[in-house]
Amino acid sequence: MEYRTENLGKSYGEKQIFCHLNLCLKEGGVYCLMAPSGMGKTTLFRILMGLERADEGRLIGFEKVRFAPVFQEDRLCMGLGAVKNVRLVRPELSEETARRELLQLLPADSLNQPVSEYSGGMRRRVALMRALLSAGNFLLFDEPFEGLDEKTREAAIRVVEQKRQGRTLLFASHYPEEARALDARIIDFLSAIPERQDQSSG
Amino acid sequence: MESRRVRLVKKAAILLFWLVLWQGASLWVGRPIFLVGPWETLAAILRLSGTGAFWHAVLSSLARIGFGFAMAFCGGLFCGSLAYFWPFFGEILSPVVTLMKTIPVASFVILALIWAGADNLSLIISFLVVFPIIYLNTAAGLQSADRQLLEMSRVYRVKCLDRILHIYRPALAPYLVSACQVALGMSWKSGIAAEVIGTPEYSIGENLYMAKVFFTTDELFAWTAVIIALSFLFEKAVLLLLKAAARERP
Repeated sequence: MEYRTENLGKSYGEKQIFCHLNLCLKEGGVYCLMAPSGMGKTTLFRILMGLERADEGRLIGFEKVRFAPVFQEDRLCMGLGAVKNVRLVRPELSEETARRELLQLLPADSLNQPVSEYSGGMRRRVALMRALLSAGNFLLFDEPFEGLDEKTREAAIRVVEQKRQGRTLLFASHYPEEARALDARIIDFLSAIPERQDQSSG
Repeated sequence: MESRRVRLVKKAAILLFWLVLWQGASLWVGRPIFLVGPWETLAAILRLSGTGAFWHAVLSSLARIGFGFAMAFCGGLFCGSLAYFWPFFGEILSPVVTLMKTIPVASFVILALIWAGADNLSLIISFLVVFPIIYLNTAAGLQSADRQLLEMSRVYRVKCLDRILHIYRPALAPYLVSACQVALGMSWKSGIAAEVIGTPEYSIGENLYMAKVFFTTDELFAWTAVIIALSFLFEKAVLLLLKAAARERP
């Protein structure tokens, strides 16, 4: 099984975000998408998830995909604690299991505090755990380790390795060492778009 | 704690200052028909509250205005939600709501008096005044729901009920609280005004009207104080309920 994008193109009005974008991802693979900011990674992710339509091209093989995203923003329900935020996307997960899993990345006394009282790094970890514990079969992370210090970043990477459970993972990052740590194949966003390459070299 | 006590003492002192001023003014005027003092008002309240007719009037006015408010709250919440999820319905309803907002209460009172008679007048008026406020604020509150969270819930296929409880409800709550703070006071003021015009039997408005007819200014003041107290308690109770319904358990 493969997931492919074929000549994908998107522009907002006059401003072209990307065009002729061709990606090929193997089911169960780990991929790290690397590109400077503002190249349209987030837009690509939105198109993959069906939150936005591409102007050109098509998606192949995504019919049965259930995405488990970590958005660029944390997008948590601020009035709820970590456990309830996780169980919102995975109600069949018992409270105990959710709690046990969350304890890998979060202090015990925080779990039933509203997320609004968490630090930025803690929120990021909840967003990450939510994706990993969800029923999705395609993990799509937009700079998932942003805002984490070195120690929690390592812990988060270990949890991703352990909870990925054979699912496809595509994540955006600026740091090659994150790709190495997760043994990810690096996709250079620029080389996936021939025209961009022409522009930048010319 | 200390500063809180100081604030309380300050508030009490200010209240006392105005009460003394009021008493002084009534003594200076010297004619209770024009201005009764706080003592006479209190005496009139105590005298009135000993009678069955007082409680009958209080309860039936409270029931009418309260029921009108409750119906308008539920109706406004329902129609406002419908208008948010189905904008065409909102467009259909929009001229009606605009009319309800702009028609003077007095015109409504006369119309309702002709159509429905005096008995349920304050119920209808309370409904008509409250409905557009709740309706518009419901639509605006739902509109303010976090787009990003809604996208998240779509991708994760969060259950409909959970979306309502944890994304729409927190967005709606502050809008409904401020809408109720406005609507509660207005429902009492316009409801009682309607009763004064329609003078239905056993109502606060009828008693106000009688106080005017017989120049019993102390009873006018007493009923006014009762209305203020009822309106205050009603507001506190509704807001307490509303806040309990909006509270999220983390």
